[in-house]
Amino acid sequence: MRYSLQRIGQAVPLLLLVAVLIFGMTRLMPGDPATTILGSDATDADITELQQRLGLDQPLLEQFFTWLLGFIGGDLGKSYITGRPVAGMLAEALPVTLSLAIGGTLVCLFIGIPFALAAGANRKRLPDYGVLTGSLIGISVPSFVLGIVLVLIFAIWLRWLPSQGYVPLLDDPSKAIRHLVLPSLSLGLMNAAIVARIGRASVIEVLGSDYIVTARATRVSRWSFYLRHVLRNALIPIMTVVGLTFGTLIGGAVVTERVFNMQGIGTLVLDAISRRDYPVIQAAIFLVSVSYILINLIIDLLYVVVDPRVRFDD
Amino acid sequence: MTSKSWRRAVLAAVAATAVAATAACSGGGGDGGDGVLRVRLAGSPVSSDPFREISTYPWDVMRNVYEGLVSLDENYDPIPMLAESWEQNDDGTQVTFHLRDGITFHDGRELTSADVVYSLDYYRENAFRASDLAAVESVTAVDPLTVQVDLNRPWGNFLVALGAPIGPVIVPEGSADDDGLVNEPVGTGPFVIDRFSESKVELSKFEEYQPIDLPTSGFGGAKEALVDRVEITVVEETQTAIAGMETDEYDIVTEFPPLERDRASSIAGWTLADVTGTQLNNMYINVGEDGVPDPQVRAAALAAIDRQKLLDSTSRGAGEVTHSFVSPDASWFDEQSGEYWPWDGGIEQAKQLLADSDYDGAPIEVMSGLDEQHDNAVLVGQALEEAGFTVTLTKLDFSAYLERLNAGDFQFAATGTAARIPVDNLYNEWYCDGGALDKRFGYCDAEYDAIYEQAVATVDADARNALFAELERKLKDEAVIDPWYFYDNIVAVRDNVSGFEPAPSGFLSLWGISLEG
Repeated sequence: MRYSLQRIGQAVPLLLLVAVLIFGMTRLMPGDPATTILGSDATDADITELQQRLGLDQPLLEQFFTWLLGFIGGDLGKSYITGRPVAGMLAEALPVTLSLAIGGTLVCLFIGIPFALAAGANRKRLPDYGVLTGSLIGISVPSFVLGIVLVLIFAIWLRWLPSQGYVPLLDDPSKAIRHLVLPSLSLGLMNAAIVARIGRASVIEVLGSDYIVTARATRVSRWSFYLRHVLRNALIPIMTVVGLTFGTLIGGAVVTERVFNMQGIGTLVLDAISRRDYPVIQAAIFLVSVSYILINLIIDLLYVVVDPRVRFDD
Repeated sequence: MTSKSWRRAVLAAVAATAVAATAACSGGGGDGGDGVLRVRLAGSPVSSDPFREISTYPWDVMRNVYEGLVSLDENYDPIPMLAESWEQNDDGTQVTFHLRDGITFHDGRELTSADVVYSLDYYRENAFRASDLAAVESVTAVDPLTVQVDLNRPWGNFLVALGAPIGPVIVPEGSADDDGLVNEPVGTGPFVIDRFSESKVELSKFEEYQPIDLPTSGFGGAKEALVDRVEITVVEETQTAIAGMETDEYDIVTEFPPLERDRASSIAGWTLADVTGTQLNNMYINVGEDGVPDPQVRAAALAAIDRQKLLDSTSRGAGEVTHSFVSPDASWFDEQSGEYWPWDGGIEQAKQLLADSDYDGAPIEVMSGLDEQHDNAVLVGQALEEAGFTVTLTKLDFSAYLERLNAGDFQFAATGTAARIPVDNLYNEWYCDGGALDKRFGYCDAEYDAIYEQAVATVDADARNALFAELERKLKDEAVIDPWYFYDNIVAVRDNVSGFEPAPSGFLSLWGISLEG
């Protein structure tokens, strides 16, 4: 509890710094929202009028505090481009991103961990070499290339799965899952390869420990031996990778979103940047930052659950 | 645990994942059918508020939902829409519109002159392009079906401006206040917006729609909705859209790239429909001190460029070379000035002009803001180098490109330009009004300004068009403009779709389209 409160307390100045950086970076970008909205045949009068309407003629410090105070009060502002509340736009994009992040992470776990165990338990034998080779390929192939290949095989040739689109889970669960399979594989397989390699190293280290020798000598079943004694002790580095993976995916897998035509946070941010839609850029990046900090905090706390030897002492 | 057991365990885990993942599989592909027309749009419709959107994708949707007092036919001449007739005074400073009786909005309210007054006033005060109606002095309701518009100066193309494909539309009184149309769009068009997001729009047929008794033409005439529902999905990635064609996700795929023509022909059940568009690729030229002030240097550059080569290379020949910004379809197109081009001597003329100029070998920059424009910029750079120029190429993101363009911080800029309707908006770009944007092209010419002002104020169409033609010749003689080619509007259409024709403007018109089977 104390550790958790300390971490949360540390996050506050960090987030303030993030807010300053985000605001500063958006204002440093060349081009301005009014000109981008109005296009190349805009008149002086229109540009000036729109800049005033959007508050862009105010001093930068005033703009910053107006935004920050509104943000703290729960008002994320309105999009310069759509006129819609930014909160609503984020609320639409977040389920897509969460679906992709969860799907990708599940693929990462269900493929990465078994292969890590298989490789670690069969060091310098065929399964180990297979996993090492396969994981190298998995890490090397960009996710969007994999995505395109998966679409070609499973959607176009075999017609097993849809090639694109997103369906909310509550609208139609079965259709939603079908639409998530290929993008989840596209995102998750590369991370599964990373988990397999790191997990393999961790499993090998654990298998060389004295307590494992003792465990082998007892009459525990093979499953219990590998799951309770080996995997549990090898989980810490795996969890770290998985946590980083999930956090990165929350930040938006924009290329995968484009390949599969799913409008998540990544696409939202990319479009907002190209349009100089400052309120959306600032809110979305801030949200991602908060998510990343929270996820890392949760992962740190899970260390204690996985390995009771871990203590967050002074 | 033996390796064999582990192999089984691993395979079991992978198989379990695969089975779980495909457990609900009953075949891929889209739903189709059920009278729903599924359309792919290449860019986001962004918002359903017609007063804030001025880019083309939002209007691909909104042109089917909202209507104005007038519309434009296939020659871009004004035709009745919500107004059934009008009278204009002799000097063009007053127009009285007579509204069609019995027209209802999507929310059931009946159209009256109060709605027209509200809509035009709201546009003048709040629209992002309010300056489009800067000449409107007042809008007055004479009676429930009559509206009088007074202008503060004679404006020959006022009616064309009212009917422009991106322009003032009529909405119920009060509906636009507090961004009301963002959440609840209400128009008079043949389709109603049921659901709107940046990535997907769902429309349904407006059962109470009353088509005007005129032939369907251009943006107007009788507009009959023949499908009950339309689903418009935004798919920005071209390859994803093509994959969607193969997996039956769509019925119409707009902006089909010319480079993928061969691939489309291999997809069963699809046909490509194309028409030469009114959107063109061209080069902007800054003639100011920071640009290319020497007319001979500019002329040398224009002579060096092989426009057919640009068209063939970047658009696979899908389009037509032009020497005018104005489409030949437009009633204001002047054949003589439109086809006039004094710089068609090719590389030899370019070399001669450059040799006779004061060009000192300093690098000339060709700027571009979009990927497709950059391809043209590269070819232009090669042509200029062949003529003897030293060239640098600069590729920027679109916002940065616009910033430099508006600041006049460029020399040549490869760009794309949509048809300017009315044509006043086109020639306005080189008109000096004392504003900051005068430095965009660095062109300030008293004679040009005088002709422009006279053209805008001329009510007689033939006389007005002759004046605009004079402006076009002047800009060409001085090597200030450089149109290249109109590119085709190519749309992929499933064989079960009938009644669809791609529009030269590129806008999506959903009326008159039906699904078979």
